[in-house]
Amino acid sequence: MKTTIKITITACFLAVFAGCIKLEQEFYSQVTPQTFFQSEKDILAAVNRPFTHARWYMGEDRWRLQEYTADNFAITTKGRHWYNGGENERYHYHRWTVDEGWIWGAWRGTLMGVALALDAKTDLEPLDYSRFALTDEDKAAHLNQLNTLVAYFYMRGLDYFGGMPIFTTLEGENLPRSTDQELFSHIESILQEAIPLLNKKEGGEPEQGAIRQAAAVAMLAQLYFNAEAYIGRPMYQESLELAQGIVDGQYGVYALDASWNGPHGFNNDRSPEIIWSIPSAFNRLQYDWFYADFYHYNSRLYFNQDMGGNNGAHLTPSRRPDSTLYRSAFNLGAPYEKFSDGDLRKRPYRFLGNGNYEGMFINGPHTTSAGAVIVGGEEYNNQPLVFRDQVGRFSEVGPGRRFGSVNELTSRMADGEENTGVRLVKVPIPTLAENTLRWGADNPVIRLAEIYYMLAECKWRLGDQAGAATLINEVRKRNFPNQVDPNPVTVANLDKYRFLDEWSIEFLGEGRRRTDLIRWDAFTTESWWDHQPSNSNHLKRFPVPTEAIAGNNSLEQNPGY
Amino acid sequence: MHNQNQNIRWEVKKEYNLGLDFAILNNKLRGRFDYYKRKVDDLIYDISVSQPPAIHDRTTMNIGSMQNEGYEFELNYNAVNTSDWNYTTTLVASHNKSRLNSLWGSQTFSDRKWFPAPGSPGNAVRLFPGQDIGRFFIWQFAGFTDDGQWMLYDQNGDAFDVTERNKTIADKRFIGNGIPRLQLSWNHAVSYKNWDASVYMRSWLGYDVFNMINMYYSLSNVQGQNVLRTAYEEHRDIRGEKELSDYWLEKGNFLKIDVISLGYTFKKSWIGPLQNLRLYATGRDLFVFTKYSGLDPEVNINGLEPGFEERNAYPKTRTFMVGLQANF
Repeated sequence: MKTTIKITITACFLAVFAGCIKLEQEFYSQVTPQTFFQSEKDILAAVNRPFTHARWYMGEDRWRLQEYTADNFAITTKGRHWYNGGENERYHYHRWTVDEGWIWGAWRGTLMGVALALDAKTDLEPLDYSRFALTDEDKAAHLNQLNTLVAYFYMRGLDYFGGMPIFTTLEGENLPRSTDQELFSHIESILQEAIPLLNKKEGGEPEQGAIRQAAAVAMLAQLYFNAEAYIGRPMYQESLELAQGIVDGQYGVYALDASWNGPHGFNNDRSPEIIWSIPSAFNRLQYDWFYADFYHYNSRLYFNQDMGGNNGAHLTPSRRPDSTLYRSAFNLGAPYEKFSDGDLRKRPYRFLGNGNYEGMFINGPHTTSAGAVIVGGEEYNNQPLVFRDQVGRFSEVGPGRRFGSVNELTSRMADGEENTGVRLVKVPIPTLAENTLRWGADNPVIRLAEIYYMLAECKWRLGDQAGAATLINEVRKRNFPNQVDPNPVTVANLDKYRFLDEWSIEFLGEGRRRTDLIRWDAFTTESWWDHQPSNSNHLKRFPVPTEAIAGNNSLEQNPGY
Repeated sequence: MHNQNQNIRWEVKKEYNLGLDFAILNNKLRGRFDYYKRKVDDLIYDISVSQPPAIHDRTTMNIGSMQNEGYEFELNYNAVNTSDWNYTTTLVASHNKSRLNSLWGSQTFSDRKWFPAPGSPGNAVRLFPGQDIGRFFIWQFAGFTDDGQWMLYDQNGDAFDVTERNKTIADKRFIGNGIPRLQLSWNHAVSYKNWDASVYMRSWLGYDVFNMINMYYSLSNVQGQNVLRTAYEEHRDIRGEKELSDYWLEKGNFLKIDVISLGYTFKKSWIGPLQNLRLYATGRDLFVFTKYSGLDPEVNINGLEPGFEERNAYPKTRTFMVGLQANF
């Protein structure tokens, strides 16, 4: 017998010599911060990049966190559509988890905004502006616009999450979260430093997205306005002084718009009410993310447009399935019926031609401008589409169906149909005939009416109820024919709930509702449609998303998550 | 240009290999045994990073150091070798274990394998130094409530209803193992006179598969698309939304008969000018013996996220071939 045994032992090292693995690159052309800037246009490109991020930031996930967790908006499940893995219910019922996509979108969007602004600053700071026939004042205004934008992103982050890592440069590594107070002070000091260096609005010139002095002052006023929620210390007096200063014209020339839709219309860049807006224009950067979320598949016929909708979001209902008002059941929500009957905004939205339009809602029978019936495609397939200010499975009511009468219907997040809920049309939509106007309305981020309401609330909280009522009524009256307000605010009727109603009416769908509810301590303690209070204080802040902690383990989670 | 990483380096691999080749019984029995230990430093992956300083949330980085350890064993036995009969059988066995040794910088863990919408199930893998690669980082299933809601175990081992208390990351645990403890293949080749036949079998043993197809398509709350039969049968009373839990983990163990083939080589005297003429029939991917309920337990077991059957899995097809092989 022949036996062979061969033993091999190998130890192999892939040897590492820096010289032989370093890739030598030959650059044929390159753009660096030192060579990029050739003209003023390039400087503006750098300054504006973080502003285009802000355009995106104002909508989508950040907006959703503000509105779908609060009392005015919901995405009900509509038959086979929009259950979305329970996502919409979790936000509405305040059962979100640390893995939710919108929360990650808000964290990521906030800090990416900070990063982009710091990045632009890093490039501009060493630049000699005189090379481009620009002055040091121009440079200071640019840098302080970027600083103010950083403050804005951080303030939104503080609102959603509490303390965040404070970055002042892009050098360095992961940072842990700051405390709420540290972030608050950081925002405060950026704004205080920026305010004197920003340009003042002279009056008359259109808004093109730049941050002027009054915008930074308004941000500081907002910070103080919500200070009790942010750092546990009310600062209404400080907020009042700044808001009063803006109203008095100390920081530039502004005025309330004479018409209700002036600040929202196609030419709102010229509205005297706008303090800061994000530009939007047809086929350029467009403020349009909500169209698909809000409108029905067939609403293009209503608008005489060519855009497709996904039919998701609507106002929470004002009425039970049996048509009685919810008014006795809870104080919040029911946004549509919070509008007085004579309110111009309560009319159905109609484009009137030449850039004019009326109304702010889609409700009731859906018809074309010529009066033809628009039909549904789901529960009401080939039947007339009639939007209702109610949630319930009305298509399943009747002899031989699931429900004998509307009295048996439940009204929950799971009970939507394709025609459920009033739809908001705050951003006007033209017909195809005037399509160049489409998305021509800028997104008004800060407008004077907000300063009026902020000032009113500060006054009210500090004991001047009459002053508060006057300010709100000054804004309210433009919403009624001949400026005759059927239900003005009075010292007697202006309480917590009336205040929350007024914020809801004037700023419906402007992405601020959760913040207002938290300031009034209503977010976790009040009920609204299909929502019971959790009484869990920690829900006023969102959790630090898992994805963020995955990238930076030093981030500490908020309590309660 | 953002999220640049000027310090990126090549991965560095160091490997130790101890091998033994042998042949005994007049070369009738031959074999090979290899033991290896491989260390990979500066692993390159796309990874979540802190923003700022990064502009975007992911960067390609050297993320840490990993090691693989295992053996391969092969036995080849020519059991019969007569003028008419020949029979050879080959058995190959291998075992591999991977472990993460360290992560970059100050990171103590990194989460991966984000489960897609609908819903927000979360991440199912956590890289954690000292932990084996292939473990699932998920919640542990604790049953269903009477009204069909999910119950999970919290960090203290107490069951809770997910609609009553929000689950937290602290409740997650490392569960299961996505990399087979043993991979086997066994080949038989037999010939009698002009006939030849072979059978090739493979088996993976000792691992779990996360059945994403069941997770996404077997609950009755999934609307507007086809669902699995289970949605109307054993899952018909479940009301709650799917949870990223070990409820969806299954044993992946399988035995596959990959190939059976049969051939006949014609006698030289029959085929005139041809050198060689062989007629054969082969069947491929013929049988899978497994208790796994998904489409195919043979899922990706490489990389940092082994052991998931993805929703886009495509069913394997059985292939039959009849052929004629001619040499001139």
